[in-house]
Amino acid sequence: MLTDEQIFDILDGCASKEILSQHQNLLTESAEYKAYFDELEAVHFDLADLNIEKPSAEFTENLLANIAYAPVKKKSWSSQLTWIFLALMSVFFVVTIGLAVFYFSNSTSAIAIPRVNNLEVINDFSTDLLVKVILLINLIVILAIFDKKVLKPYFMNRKVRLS
Amino acid sequence: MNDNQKDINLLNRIRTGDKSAYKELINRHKDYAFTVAYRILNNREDAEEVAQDAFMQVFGALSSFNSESKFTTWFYRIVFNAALMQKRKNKVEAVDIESSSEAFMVSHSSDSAEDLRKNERKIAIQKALQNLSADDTTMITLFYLKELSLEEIAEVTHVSAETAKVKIHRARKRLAEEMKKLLKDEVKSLL
Repeated sequence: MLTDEQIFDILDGCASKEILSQHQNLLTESAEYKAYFDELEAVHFDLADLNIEKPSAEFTENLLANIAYAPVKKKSWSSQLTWIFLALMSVFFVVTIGLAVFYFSNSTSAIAIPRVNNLEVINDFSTDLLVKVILLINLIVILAIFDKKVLKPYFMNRKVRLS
Repeated sequence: MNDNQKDINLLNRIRTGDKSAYKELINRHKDYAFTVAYRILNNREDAEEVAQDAFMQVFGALSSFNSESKFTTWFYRIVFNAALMQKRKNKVEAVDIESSSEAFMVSHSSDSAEDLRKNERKIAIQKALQNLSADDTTMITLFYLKELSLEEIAEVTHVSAETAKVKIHRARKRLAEEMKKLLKDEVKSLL
């Protein structure tokens, strides 16, 4: 007699050749085995024939009505920071070049402004204001990264632990 | 594009806010989700609630879904867990199969003897499934839906593939015994 597992393997179509030949022999030789196999086979086919159940006709509509559609996720401030930084730097670069071109072109004009003074103005601008602004932006970027990478994870963990 | 790729594609569309993708995903999986829940709970209203709840959980946890995994495995695990929780909540099971089976018999009174015999077996198997544990019913349902492989069924039910195979065999054996009992009782009642 085959075990239940072996009989189910036959029904599932994954029995070995050896088991299958044993099964064929038993079917012809043992009425008891045949009756038992027929019983399991009937259950197997009954289960395979079971219908897929259908929910109510309003299932999808009801569900859609309950869904709070997730808005398109905007990029967070921190993920946009790199682009903002690069954009600001580009603006400063363009302004600096623009000012430089403006003062150099003026220096060749009829108005007699000493060239040394123009260069001093540009130098002052680039060394004082621009450097200060760049430093300030860098500081903001560093603080934002520190907040995202260190402070936020720390407080999130703390919140999870406390809850 | 295979079924899983279609699902992943729909999930990506949902993530970008495409409302029609929600409907498509629901329509693709509602019948199977409902069937799994219904077989565990034996109650249409509860099963519908559980299936809806499972979809809501899916939409709420899209960020935690790994696109490398199979969607249906993840989804059926949610349905299975939600149905089990509901089953625990419903200590008293609502059995509406009696009334439905009677209605079924009446509405099919003009069918041939063979059809009637088939219908009787269908009703008996549904009754027998109700008498099994939620675990057994789930194993059998997932196996015969033919949507998941043995490994995936194992993943859904939190067991190893080998254990899942053994559990499916045992569940079918128990179902066969239940069927035998039920059909014997029916014959006795006719006599």
